[in-house]
Amino acid sequence: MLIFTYDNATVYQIARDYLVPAITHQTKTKERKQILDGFQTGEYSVVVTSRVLNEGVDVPAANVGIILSGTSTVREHVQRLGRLLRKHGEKQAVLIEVVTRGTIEEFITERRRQHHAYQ
Amino acid sequence: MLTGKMVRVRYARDRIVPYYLDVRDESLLLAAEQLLELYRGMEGRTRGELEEVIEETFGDDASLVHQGLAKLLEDRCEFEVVSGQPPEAVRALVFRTATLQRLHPVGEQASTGFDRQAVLEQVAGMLNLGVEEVERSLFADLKSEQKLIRFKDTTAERLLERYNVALAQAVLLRATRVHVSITGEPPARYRQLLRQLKFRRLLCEAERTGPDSYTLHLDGPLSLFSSTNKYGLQLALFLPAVLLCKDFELRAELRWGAQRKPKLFLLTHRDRLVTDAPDYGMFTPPELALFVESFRRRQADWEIAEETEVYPLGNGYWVPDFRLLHKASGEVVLLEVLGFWRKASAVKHLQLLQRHATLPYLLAVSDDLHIEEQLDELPPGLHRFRHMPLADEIARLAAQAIGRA
Repeated sequence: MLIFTYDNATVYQIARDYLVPAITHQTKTKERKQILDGFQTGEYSVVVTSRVLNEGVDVPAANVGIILSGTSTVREHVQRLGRLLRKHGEKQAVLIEVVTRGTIEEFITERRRQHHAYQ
Repeated sequence: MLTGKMVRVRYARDRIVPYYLDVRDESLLLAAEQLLELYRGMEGRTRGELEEVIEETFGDDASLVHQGLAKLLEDRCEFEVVSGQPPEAVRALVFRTATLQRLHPVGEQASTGFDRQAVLEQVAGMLNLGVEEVERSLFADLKSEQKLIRFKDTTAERLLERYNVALAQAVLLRATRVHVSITGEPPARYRQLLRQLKFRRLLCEAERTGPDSYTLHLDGPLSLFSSTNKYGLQLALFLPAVLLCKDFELRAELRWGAQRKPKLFLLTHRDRLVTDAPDYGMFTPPELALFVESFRRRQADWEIAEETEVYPLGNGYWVPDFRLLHKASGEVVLLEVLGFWRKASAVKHLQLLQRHATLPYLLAVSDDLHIEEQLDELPPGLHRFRHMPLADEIARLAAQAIGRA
């Protein structure tokens, strides 16, 4: 399971509360690699991260993604989706967006879905 | 150093004019004193707490000036990760234990779900620590968790002076070329300036424009293909050495703003910027210290010493880094290791040496500090190393240079 948030404070809040490994820009390369490796092998079942994982990181083991914040660009969003859609055996992937009713997040999620990745 | 968004300047046609602070302004002195007082009382607290207190004190009133002053004070602080246990190891253990518990819940956990306290207790048991200590160590290495261990105090007036220098330094980060003319200094001062240029490893041509005047032509960071930030910082750190001169004129060609518009920045002794930078006595760039150490250890036939002499060379000068003394014969080989370099200037420098040098010499360059996109073949006489010169190779070349190979 991959949890995406918008800001680092939330990342560390979740990491502390649920005791799951976190990756932010402050995570050093060595630890980042160790966390992602651990995620592949099943040593860790959850990783929480802000935006750094969006591009250029491959995590085929992920099959559930949770997006906890509305504010991200379409491009970023599609990349997050792409993190989950990597082929890995017979896996099925689920992406959950947490959207607060009556806030700007409703509008943002609407806009994001116009990308052809959703068609 | 001030960050880009803290820089306050106005435009006067093609010129960039920083908003220097009046160091005698009562309200500014008061704000500076307030900030200083704040930092003085924060030893032992975390960076996060410090930021909170500053925000509380200045709130939405925190102007760019306040932010800038706070940043300069932060630069005077030493922070440290305070944790009995390495945080990385503690959290790896906590996260692994938590995963195991989620996969194989024990007893009640199967129905109640994830039990945070149980995980922490288990890890505390394994590490022989208290639960609280485990929690504290978890992310003790985060920037916001680092503890302030030392604050180098200063006065309100000094802080405002430092701000003005920092403003000029920040502007220089956007330079493509910098020309500095200096007049009327004693030889010792020139020697120090030239050594300081070497120490900062800057790209510079020095031109002697009179019996007691020099003009330095420096490359600005924005003229480099790579290492722009690293080089910019060194150039900024060179400025205080210029400010120590009584009569100088600095003209910087800038590329300003997102559009990289050509602008000019002028700074002279009449701007009355005051630096509290000490006159440095160190001459070996930190990157070269390892080479010196290895040379001393491995080459018994040679003695290596810093060379402090400045040699005239054609119309310019030459500051080699080291003097290698061949113990048996008493012969000397001078060694220069170029700092940031590009091929054309290195070759030009080599030719000058070939024409004018009066002692045997070696000229070395490192791939790490090469700042062009591409590098094709170099002429013989430029000795190329990946990072630093290798002691054995330098000794062999030096022996060759005095005909004792």
